[in-house]
Amino acid sequence: MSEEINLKAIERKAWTSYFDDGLWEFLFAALFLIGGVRSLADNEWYTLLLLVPVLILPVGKKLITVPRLGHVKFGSSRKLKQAKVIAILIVSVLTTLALLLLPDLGLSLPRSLVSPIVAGWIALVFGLIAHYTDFKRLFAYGLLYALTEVLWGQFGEPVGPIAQTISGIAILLVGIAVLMRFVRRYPLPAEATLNVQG
Amino acid sequence: MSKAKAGSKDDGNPLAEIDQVIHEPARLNIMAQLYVLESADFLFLMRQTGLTFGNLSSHLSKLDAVGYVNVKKEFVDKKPHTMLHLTEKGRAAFRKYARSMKQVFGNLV
Repeated sequence: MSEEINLKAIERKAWTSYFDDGLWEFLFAALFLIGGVRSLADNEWYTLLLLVPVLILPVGKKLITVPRLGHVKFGSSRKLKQAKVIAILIVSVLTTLALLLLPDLGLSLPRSLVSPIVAGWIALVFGLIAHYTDFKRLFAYGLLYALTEVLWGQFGEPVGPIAQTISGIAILLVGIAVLMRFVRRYPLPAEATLNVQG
Repeated sequence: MSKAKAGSKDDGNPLAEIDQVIHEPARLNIMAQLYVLESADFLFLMRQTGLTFGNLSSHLSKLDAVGYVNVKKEFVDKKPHTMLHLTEKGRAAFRKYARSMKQVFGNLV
């Protein structure tokens, strides 16, 4: 037995296999597209569509990922990383809400000034989450989101929303390709395998 | 039989201490997978190890027989499920195996 066993690599492969189902791409694509379309349509009711992305991950995992990949509970080191990700998400949501409330507090700033700050913040949040989740594509999506934010700040509408919509479409196409690869790599198992006694 | 001695234990040969149950490549793969996870079901292990249904079942039976793996049968969404995890004995055996292998190659290189 001469091969060195890299336990960290084994754990990372097990973890990332759970990410390679394209669902996260669908989530981000939905957020991008809804944000872009909402602005282009100039209709606040489109905000309700944000309920759709919320369902993508839990429903997708249940119907697509778990039946093909199986059930797993990850170890304590991965759970600690997940806790860090949740903390980052909570802070980012609260910060974003605070920024959205600024105009109501009479602290509105020109978008051209706010955009670079928001873009940097978004890139940082995505980067941290990418690091702790070992989900490398998230770096690219964070940079893409930051770029659309900068374009929005510099050129306003409709350039910003169009850029966001195009970004959403690009991520959606990646998601479809990733999902197709996932489905081919992990076909639905025979019923006998699911009911196996070890 | 959980250990087959390659040589006499008394002559200080580290090869003699290698756990032959774990030393088999497929079982080593299974043990390594379960070592880094809290638990996993049969399907997940099949996907990660690349073993066939029959192969995995056979090796898990051997690991279960020596007390390294615990097989827990439960229902998830009204469907029968088999979750597997390393026992404390299994984790200790895996760590000991890793130390033994390091010692073997440390002495050879």
